[in-house]
Amino acid sequence: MQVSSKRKWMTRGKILFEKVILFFLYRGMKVLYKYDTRIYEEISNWPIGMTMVLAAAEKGPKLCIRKVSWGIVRVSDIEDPDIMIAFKSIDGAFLVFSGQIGTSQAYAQHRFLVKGDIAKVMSVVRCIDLTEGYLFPEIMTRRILRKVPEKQIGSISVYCHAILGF
Amino acid sequence: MLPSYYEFQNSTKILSGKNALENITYELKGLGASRPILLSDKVLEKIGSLQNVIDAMASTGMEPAEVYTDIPSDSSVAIVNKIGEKYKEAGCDSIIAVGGGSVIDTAKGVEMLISQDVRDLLELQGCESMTRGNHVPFIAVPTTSGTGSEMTLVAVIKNIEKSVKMEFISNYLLPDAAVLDPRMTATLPPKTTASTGFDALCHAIEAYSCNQKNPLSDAYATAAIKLVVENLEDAVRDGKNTKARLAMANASTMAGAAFSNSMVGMVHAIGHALGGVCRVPHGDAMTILLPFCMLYNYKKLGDIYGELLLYLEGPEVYAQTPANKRGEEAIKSVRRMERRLHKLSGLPMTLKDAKVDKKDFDAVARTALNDGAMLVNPAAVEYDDVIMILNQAYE
Repeated sequence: MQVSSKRKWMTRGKILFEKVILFFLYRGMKVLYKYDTRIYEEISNWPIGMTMVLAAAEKGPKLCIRKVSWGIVRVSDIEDPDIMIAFKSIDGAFLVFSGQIGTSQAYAQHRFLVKGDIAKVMSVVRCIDLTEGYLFPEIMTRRILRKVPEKQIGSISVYCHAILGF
Repeated sequence: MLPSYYEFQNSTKILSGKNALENITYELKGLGASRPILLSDKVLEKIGSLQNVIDAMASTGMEPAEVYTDIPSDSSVAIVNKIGEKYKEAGCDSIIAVGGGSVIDTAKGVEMLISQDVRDLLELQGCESMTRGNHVPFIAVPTTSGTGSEMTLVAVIKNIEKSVKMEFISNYLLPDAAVLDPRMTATLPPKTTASTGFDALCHAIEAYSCNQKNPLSDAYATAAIKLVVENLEDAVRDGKNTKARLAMANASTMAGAAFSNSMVGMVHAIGHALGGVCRVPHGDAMTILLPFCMLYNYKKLGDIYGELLLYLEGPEVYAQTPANKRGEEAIKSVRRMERRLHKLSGLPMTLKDAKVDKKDFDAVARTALNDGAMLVNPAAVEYDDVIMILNQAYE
């Protein structure tokens, strides 16, 4: 039996969407490292050279990050990361990336697996939650975050910096 | 109400009651094992609890291939590795853990080491990232009624070299069987009985109120609360009360099954930190923190706590209490139980009683925020919130 074409197109659409979100998540975190004291503090506490992979599924799109002295950089692939957060399916990841559920709810629903030190994972999760607070509209963050974070810079400004890449 | 999605697994067989120990041999044979390694600690060896297990096994035709009793109160990677070597040297094919949380967690570590065939446990650190591996028959015999470790998918093992507490979460860590025999908890002193019993109550209350709760974990949690309320004080008053002891062992096991599937929240996150930073015994930390954390979560969980009044105080008090007051009454009920246990056994009620120094609050708060349990607490918790709770619980 083959996957139906409807399902195939839906999966492709979700993968594309997740790639876009991962792009903004990385760029957002990078921008907020400069402009949000809470994200700066979290990332500063990561050891230099720490690697982290956020994968939308085992073979789905992923965001690979390395901590450097000036913040974080995105790399194409990391074979054995210190921290790995991998969703069990593209569809599970889509629930989070499309703002239907938050990371806390996704964890409660066993949507992802985690490899590595859970204390460091908690710091990564706090960064993701804070970044979502800027990237998603408040009507969405009120539903998916346990507490909507106070913004230290405007969301439009974050998007502009993220798109322009500085 | 059904959650939009949930998972539940409880594959551990329970052997509960009189002569349960005598069925260990049968269970092991059924699992295809005949050369178990028996893990325990020096105290249990000294007071004869371990001998009870060895006698029960010998009388049914099986002897352990190896016995290891040098397990300290905080299990560590070094100990797990050492036991792993002994396991292989003695040609063992299964594990029996006789003890409290530390012994059972150590056994889970050994089980991982053997079943996953890895050199370093660090490789397996994480949540739900493990595959089944080779099956190692594993039987847990708890000797306290509190941790519920015999029914949980979690193991915490210290890596002293790297100064980290490694957390492992996987359904493949669940023992094949848990043996609840009243002989195994008969010698627990009153204060430890109260402290560990309160830990079980805390597991059940957090399991019933955390984000991962589901109808099956709720059923285990409420049954556990009822058993604790009905039996904990009797077990503290009279340690030889077999009925109360067995009921508490069951309560602990049920609460373990509940929180293994719905996780625990901020009480445990702060409690773990108090244990790590200030060496506060886990059960004592739970006792002290539970009412204050319930108050903190009240805005989000008032109605859910209200439902628990039925199990904490019974149907008459529940029916007589207006719906909007039930949550508050549930918290008061927990506080009253604490006071009674304090009078009976000297159970500490404040952080000052537990000899916590206020200067450690900063380290406790920072550690607590990095505990995985914070992720499923229904209300968001920040640094200042933890400091506030610690101050409230101080005296």
